[in-house]
Amino acid sequence: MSELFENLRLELRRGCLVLAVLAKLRAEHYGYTLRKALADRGMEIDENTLYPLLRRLESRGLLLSQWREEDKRNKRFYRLSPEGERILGQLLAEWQNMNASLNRIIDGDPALDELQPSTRSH
Amino acid sequence: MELIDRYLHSVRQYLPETQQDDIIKELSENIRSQQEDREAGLGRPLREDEVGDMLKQLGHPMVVAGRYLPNTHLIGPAVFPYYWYTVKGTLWIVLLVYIIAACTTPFVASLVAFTNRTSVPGLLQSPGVWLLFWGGFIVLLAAFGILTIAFALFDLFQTRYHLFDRWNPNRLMPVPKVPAELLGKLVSRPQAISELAIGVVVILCWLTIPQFPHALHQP
Repeated sequence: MSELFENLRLELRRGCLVLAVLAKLRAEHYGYTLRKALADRGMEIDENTLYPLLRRLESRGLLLSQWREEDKRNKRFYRLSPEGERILGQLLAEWQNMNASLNRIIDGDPALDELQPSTRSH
Repeated sequence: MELIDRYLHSVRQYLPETQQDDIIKELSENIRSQQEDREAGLGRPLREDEVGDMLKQLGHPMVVAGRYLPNTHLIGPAVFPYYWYTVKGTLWIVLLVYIIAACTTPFVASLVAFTNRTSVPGLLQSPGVWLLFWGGFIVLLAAFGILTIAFALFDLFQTRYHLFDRWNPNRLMPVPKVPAELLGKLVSRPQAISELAIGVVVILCWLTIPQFPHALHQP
């Protein structure tokens, strides 16, 4: 049962990770600090997911990267490209719509109130 | 540190040559930043076993490299269920036909030899259990391979030419006039028997004729 929940949770999280990464890269970061910044805000992300994701987003033109020296070492810094900013705006609007729709669906079903009364705010 | 270098070297081996330097340079930097972060937290350099734990947490070099590669597949999820259904069904039929053919081949070989007044080759008189076993294994493997190649090609073409998008609902088969609970189970007995018989004859010919090439040239 927990494995089933874990699979569904990962599926639910997949799209949110892209959104979180794009949103966080409105300010410049390199891989490791981005991972820490996301984790500090409650969005833990595995290295093997984040680092290849950054490269994929860059190859699709959503991110820009630059090798630069910091603390006497060369690091690859990523930030949102103009195209990335446009797509992020659209994705955020889509996410808010989905969230609102889900809330309407959940609020309209009284059976769900009995399912998890402690976590329901309405 | 030597362990990190060995780890990065191992990851490099699984990456495409054109991207090796770039990916390894970036991964190396991220690993060393993580190492420094841990060392700052502890107030001392990491021991060899602690570095080992950190790398183990990162994952096996092959897994790490694999995440940088594009997702590829031989048979995609749209076609796979139909492929798997066909493979399972076909392999059972091939196995059944092979068993029947293997059991009857010595008898048929004797009959052909008697008709042509020749002797039965030793191999067909008593093929031996291991020979039959390996023969069956090779026949099943060949059937599996042919089906896999056929479906992989189909998947390639359907992806490239969007074959599944070109369907017309008006050309769907009409619903058969049988009760719904029998749909999908209805195979007529004469049809099943005739298909099995044809299969047996084909495999018998395949097993027997190479032993009697002259039989084909007789008037």
